[in-house]
Amino acid sequence: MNDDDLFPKEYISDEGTDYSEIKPEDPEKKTEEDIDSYYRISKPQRLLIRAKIIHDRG
Amino acid sequence: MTEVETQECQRICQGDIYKDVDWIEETNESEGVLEISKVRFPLVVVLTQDCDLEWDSKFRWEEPQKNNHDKFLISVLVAPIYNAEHVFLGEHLSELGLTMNQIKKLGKTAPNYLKTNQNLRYHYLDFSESARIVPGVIDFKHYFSVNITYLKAIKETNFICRVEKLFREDISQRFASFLSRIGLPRLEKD
Repeated sequence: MNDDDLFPKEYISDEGTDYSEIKPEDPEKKTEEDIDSYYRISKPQRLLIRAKIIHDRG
Repeated sequence: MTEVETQECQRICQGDIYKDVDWIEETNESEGVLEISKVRFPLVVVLTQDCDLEWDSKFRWEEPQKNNHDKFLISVLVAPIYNAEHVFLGEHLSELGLTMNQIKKLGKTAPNYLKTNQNLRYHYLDFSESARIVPGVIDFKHYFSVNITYLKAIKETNFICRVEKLFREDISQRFASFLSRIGLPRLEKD
């Protein structure tokens, strides 16, 4: 089965949009905008880890 | 403008920039339950002297293994690179519950002083086009150490780029200058 089987050619959305216009894009295919996007430096985050000690070699 | 190389060095090098580096803030153990609090820094730059990193790499990783560990480092010094926009607003550590000074409130010339690297504490990085990184600010006051095997383990996935030679020497010299500054007392006038 290929992707086209999931979306029949004659598919028309409720709003009347053609199938070709609503077909999801290949996630691997990056747009020019993605390629051009800069690395945004986010803010440092705090992460908390809680773990039960089940073996103490000491 | 700060030039960078995107070609990865074989070993950890001075001027390397890594993403998502964890720093253990605190650990607590109580009744068999271990709590670890760590801070994940989105970007850090390596500050350790490059010759020290080179010798550590030769003694630690190169075959045949040596029986002498004299050149081993215990840790690697790094400093966080914050988003310049967040720094100017004093909001870069807001997710940690910390409020920092708004640069513009320090005086009319303060933002320009920071941008032109005249403020000892900070190093402004206006990355070259090839880096594809928004402007950042190194805060020398926030330097910390990272375990060298941990950094080596994440190197392949977390390496972003390396600051070019002349520019990393500028960072190194300014960091040394920041660390070696002499705090003078404020003397009251008689």
